[in-house]
Amino acid sequence: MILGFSPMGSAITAPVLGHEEAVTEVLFSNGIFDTLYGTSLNASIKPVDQILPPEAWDEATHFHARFNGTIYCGNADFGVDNTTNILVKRRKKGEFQWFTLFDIPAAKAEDYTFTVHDPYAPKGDLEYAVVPIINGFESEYSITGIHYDFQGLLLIEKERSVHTILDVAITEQKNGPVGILSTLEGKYPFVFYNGENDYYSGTVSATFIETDSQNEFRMNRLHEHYREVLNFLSNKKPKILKYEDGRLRLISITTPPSDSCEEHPDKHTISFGFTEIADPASNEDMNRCGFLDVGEEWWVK
Amino acid sequence: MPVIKPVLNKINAFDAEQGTTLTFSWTGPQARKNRIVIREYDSPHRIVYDCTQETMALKHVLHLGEILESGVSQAVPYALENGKRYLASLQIFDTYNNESETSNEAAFYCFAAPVFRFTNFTNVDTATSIAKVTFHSIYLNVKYAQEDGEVLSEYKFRLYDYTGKLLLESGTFYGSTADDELQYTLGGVTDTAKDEFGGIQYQTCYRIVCQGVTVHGMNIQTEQKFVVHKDTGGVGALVTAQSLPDCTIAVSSHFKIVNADFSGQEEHYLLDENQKPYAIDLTGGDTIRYFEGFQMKPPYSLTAIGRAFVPGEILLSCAGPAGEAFAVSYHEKRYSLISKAYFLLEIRKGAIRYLLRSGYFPIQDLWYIIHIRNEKGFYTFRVLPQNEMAQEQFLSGNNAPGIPMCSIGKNRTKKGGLTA
Repeated sequence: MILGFSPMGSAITAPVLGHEEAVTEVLFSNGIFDTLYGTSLNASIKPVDQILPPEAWDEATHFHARFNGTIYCGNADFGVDNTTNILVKRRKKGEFQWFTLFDIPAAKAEDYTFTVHDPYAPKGDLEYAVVPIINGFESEYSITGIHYDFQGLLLIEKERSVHTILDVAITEQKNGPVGILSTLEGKYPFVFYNGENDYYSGTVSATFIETDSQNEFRMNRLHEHYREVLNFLSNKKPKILKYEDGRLRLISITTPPSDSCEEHPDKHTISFGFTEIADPASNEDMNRCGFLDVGEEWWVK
Repeated sequence: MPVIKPVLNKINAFDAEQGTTLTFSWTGPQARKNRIVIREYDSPHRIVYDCTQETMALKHVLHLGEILESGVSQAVPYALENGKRYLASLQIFDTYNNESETSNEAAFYCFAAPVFRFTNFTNVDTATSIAKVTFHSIYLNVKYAQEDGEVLSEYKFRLYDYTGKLLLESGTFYGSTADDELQYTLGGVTDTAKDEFGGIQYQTCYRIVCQGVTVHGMNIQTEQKFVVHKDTGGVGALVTAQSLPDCTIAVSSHFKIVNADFSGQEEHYLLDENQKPYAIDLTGGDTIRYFEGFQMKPPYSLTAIGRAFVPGEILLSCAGPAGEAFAVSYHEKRYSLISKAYFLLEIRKGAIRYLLRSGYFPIQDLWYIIHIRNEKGFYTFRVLPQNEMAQEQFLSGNNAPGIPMCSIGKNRTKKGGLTA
């Protein structure tokens, strides 16, 4: 049945036959082709009556073959067969060196679409890169930027974290190796700096009250949360301490947490002492302390 | 009066054929001359060097030549050999030619200069000595080899831009043998458009330096300038980052990897004036099939841009998992007075079949835009020749305002050559 024809350039239409079905295969031949482009029509992403393909990829694009030397039509010039891993890296904007956060095995096409969460990010302007490993080599970096900010204090482990913005007080000092040797005859002692120690230690006190997804305080389980925080602080695991002023330390709790209640039975202040044990900007330290699971071959050294 | 002895500083290993400069400290009267005596460590009676140099500076350049220069008196000519250990001592002569006590004896080794060079910069411009790199990441391989068995102690890499600004310094790595392959990866080659702050950028010259020191203090260095050239293709994956209420950052990757299958002898591309491929020639019956990695559900649109279609043949066909399919074919009708071309969209589902015919076009070698849309329960079929009239239609509001003309204008009116 011929439904109709179009005069030059205008459109003709035909009804969809029954159930609407997805296209999963495209085959073409018998011509010279410059472009093949398939996209979902989503007005929130781009104009739906656009005919000519845009240059850039967007979330609605399904395939875009340009035939500029390859027949690939995805947004990566490689296939699944020769790609083994995808790395997710981070760096501060303006810095040169990347920091490898995740090492994701990639075996099939679906593995290339993913979301990972970075709880260890420092404050400021950051860049994230997704890097396919093709035949054992890094391919091109796909980069995005973000300005990251937060309020209050965060104590983070790999699987969980506690956060508070209430009554946070941090006191810390920088430690280094200093030896003072008094002499019998001299007025002044000798001072020695033997060793390479250079770390922070300090104390933190705060009122930890849980918040819900709307950032409202959960007042109905105050005391349960206090106990959870005390257990969290006593579990002997290394933690990342992040504070809103930009401080970022990889610490161990070295003074057991104390819980005091002075003003109101429901308002507890939890205090603890900490010692910096490693560098959160070091791939090796973050893996050794259990925060990351990146293969050693991808560590930035 | 306390006895003043000169102190000969530590002597790092050096290549006996290149020599070195010895330094020392001296707190006595102004030095006018210094004398260095070097003996073999294993045969202390054998003096291999005894030379006095007139200088006020607290240094002694080992005199390799047989011809004595002004201010040099050589009692025993230079006879140091690589692979041996030696002991050096020093005496200072002041303005009145008073001779100091002999200094401490400093032991040192002589070793042949190690082989220390980058091995995987293979594409080097001989005129500029600048290497061309085409990978997205730069893998640095450095060969270290020392024939006397001197082990590399530690090394590090430094990356400089063309003006000499230090961009990156690696951590310190430790060697283990006298014949080692050192490796380091410079990741993060990016497109300048995406990354204007840092990162190795395409078409920019950099200098990578590898510096090392052997266990006996021999300093070695090698360097290479390079430029990264962009491959064809590349990765345009969407990466998004979003700050979440729980103070984490969600990083999402939207790679689209579509499996492609080419059936035919060889991929033939048309080249533009810069000899870059911009279109593929399938007029000989070769086919390309895209499958897996996408699932285009309605509403969707499909656009193909092409020319030189083979009359009576299917140009494009799409299928879904349950059998519904559509195909676009090209046809020509040639009469004695007039000839015309048209396109047919055939939609099939089981025994039912719809045909949509485009308008008629003169038979010319034009680029055509074939556009199919499945939206709101209807297929829409549109074919536009990419000539002046079609461009006018695009721009005059027949379609969405602000449609980028993108690459469609690129060489479309010129005939490209075929490349194998």
